[in-house]
Amino acid sequence: MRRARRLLLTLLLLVVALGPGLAGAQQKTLRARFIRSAIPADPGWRGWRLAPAIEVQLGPQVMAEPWQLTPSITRLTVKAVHNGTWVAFLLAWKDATRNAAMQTDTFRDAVALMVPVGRAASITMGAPKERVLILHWKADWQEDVDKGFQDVAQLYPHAWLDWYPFAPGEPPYDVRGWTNPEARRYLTGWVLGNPRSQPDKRTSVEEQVAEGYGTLTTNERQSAVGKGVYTNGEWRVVIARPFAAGDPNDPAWGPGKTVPVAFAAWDGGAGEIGGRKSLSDWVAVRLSPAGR
Amino acid sequence: MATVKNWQIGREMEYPFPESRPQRQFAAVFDLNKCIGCQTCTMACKTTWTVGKGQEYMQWNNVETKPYGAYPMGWDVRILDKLGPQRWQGQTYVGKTVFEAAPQGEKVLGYLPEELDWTHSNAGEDEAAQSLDRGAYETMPVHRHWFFYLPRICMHCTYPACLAACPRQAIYKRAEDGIVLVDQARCRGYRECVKACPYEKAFYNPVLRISQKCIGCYPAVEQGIQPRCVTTCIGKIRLMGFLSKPDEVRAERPLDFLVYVRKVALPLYPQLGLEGNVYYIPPVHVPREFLRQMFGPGTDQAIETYLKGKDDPELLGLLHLFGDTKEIVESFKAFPATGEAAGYDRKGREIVRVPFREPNYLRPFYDAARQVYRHNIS
Ligand code: SF4
Ligand code: SF4
Ligand code: SF4
Repeated sequence: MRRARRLLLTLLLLVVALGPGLAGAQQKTLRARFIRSAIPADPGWRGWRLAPAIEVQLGPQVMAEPWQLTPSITRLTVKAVHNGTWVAFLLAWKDATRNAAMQTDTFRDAVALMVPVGRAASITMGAPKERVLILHWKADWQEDVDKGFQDVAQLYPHAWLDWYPFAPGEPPYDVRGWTNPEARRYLTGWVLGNPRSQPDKRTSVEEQVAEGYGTLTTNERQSAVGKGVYTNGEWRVVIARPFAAGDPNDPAWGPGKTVPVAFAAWDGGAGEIGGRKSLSDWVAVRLSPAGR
Repeated sequence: MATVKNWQIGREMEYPFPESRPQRQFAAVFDLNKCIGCQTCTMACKTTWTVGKGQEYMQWNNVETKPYGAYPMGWDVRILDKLGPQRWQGQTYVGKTVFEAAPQGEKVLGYLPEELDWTHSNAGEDEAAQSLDRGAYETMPVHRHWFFYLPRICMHCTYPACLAACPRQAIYKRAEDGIVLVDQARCRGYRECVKACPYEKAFYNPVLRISQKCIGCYPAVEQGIQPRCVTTCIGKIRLMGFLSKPDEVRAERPLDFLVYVRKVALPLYPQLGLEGNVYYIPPVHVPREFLRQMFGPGTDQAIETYLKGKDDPELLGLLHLFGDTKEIVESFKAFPATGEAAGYDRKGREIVRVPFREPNYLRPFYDAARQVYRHNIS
């Protein structure tokens, strides 16, 4: 009985969730113009002003537990441009709070876009043999890139510890200097190559692949770059990637093609992370032919 | 959802994965009558496993004073409050587990502690349940003014809520010993496990931005050695070993004997539905009401059996094996004739032998040779 009720509610919510997204996808196409210059990974770049924008509706995530029934972020303003080699997206949304720290009870803001690796894929983060590429920008990684790794001293300025085993240097023992294996023994995620735990962040965008829920994996090659800036209650985030990075997970995109792209957003202030997010349906992105 | 058997609540229940019990299950018994709250166990775990960056606040092993202490703050009252009033019918729990009470779209009923909840890990230490009035006196065996120490580690549950809640399946339960681990390469720091574990034994490392938890000292356990928090215990209150499946009980196994045969060791908040594998011998001086809500319907029988322990050579002998060897005792035997108990390893080799009663020596109050008076003559 409970299961049946749950299923019914899920179906209802699916209709609610996908309704506007589907309609949007039918109505709207995002035009990604060709430009001749290099594209700076900078939301303040003047070239963005000329790029056409669309509004993308985001709905609740009710397909995989945990759900997000009442998501915070319900619309994104999206622009895209390309220069024949690189494609860049500008994603903007209103957010009353800037959340960039991942303390024990805080979550960061984030935004992502998803493109099928093959010709098409299921909206459910892909499916077996229907791989998707996901470019995920995270506010805490941006903080690492802009201000240096967010270590204990940055996260908890009033904390003081005078000893960590084998840690070189002096308090507060900046973890970036822990080059000796004895000290690193306790830095499990770092030693095992978990990108979250790496103190030396080069980009604020993590490139990932998935073939359905629960299969999200960091892509072996990382080619995406990005930058997010928060001003006046708004996040403006650029996510850019070469069309072809010589990667088996390069999507079938390029100048002159139209590709489906889906978006998701997380409001850290509302505890959103992982599946607790809002998401769009596929949006058609028409990439102008090169030279035009 | 699958339907699984949870013997601690005397019925089947819903769990996201089908029943899959490990070949051997990591388990431990803590005798709460003997814990002195010295925190040696906490320090042993701390200095071995959680001295790293982002682990500053973590105590995989902690000892809190009941009724008021809790780490993190109020973990027990908060989850019980969320669950709401529920009922047992005899040995069967007819209320809802944290899996069955999960809200729509969630795998487990839970909450994320706030950062401040983790500070002051020993708040409430040594605070008695009520203050002492003038002329107060104690009653026996149940005290009117009571408190007791509750040492806690991860229960390496048969039905872990942390594992159930992880949308990435980054948490796994080892088939060889039932130890529950967080894959440090796969975890993405969503903290679904921290929210889901009703015992609050999954922790988030804000520097590595992933979750971590008690690893059951698996490098030691793999070599037949009991965990750090067990072997260092000053009060010798702990025994770690393996627990058989509930339908394959072997009375010569220490854990089976205490949990299934004599039933003196009880699960902690069994109604939560996780079938945790750390069992407690309830403290006899604490009001039964308080103990029943904590350890379930087996409480009264457990205390009666424990109090009669002096006339039960097997139980008496086994209780003496607590803290007397660092090796994992796979089987034990009591020898009432000689007043001894022995423990054996996996190959049946004797690894420890202890007397039920230490020999007694009496020394004169005044030591003529040293010309001193003794404080202690026995
Ligand atoms: S006690 Fe908590 S952390 Fe440990 S296995 Fe059970 S649910 Fe997981
Ligand atoms: S079993 Fe090991 S890791 Fe777990 S609390 Fe005890 S000492 Fe710590
Ligand atoms: S070391 Fe033993 S006696 Fe001391 S607090 Fe821990 S469990 Fe209790």
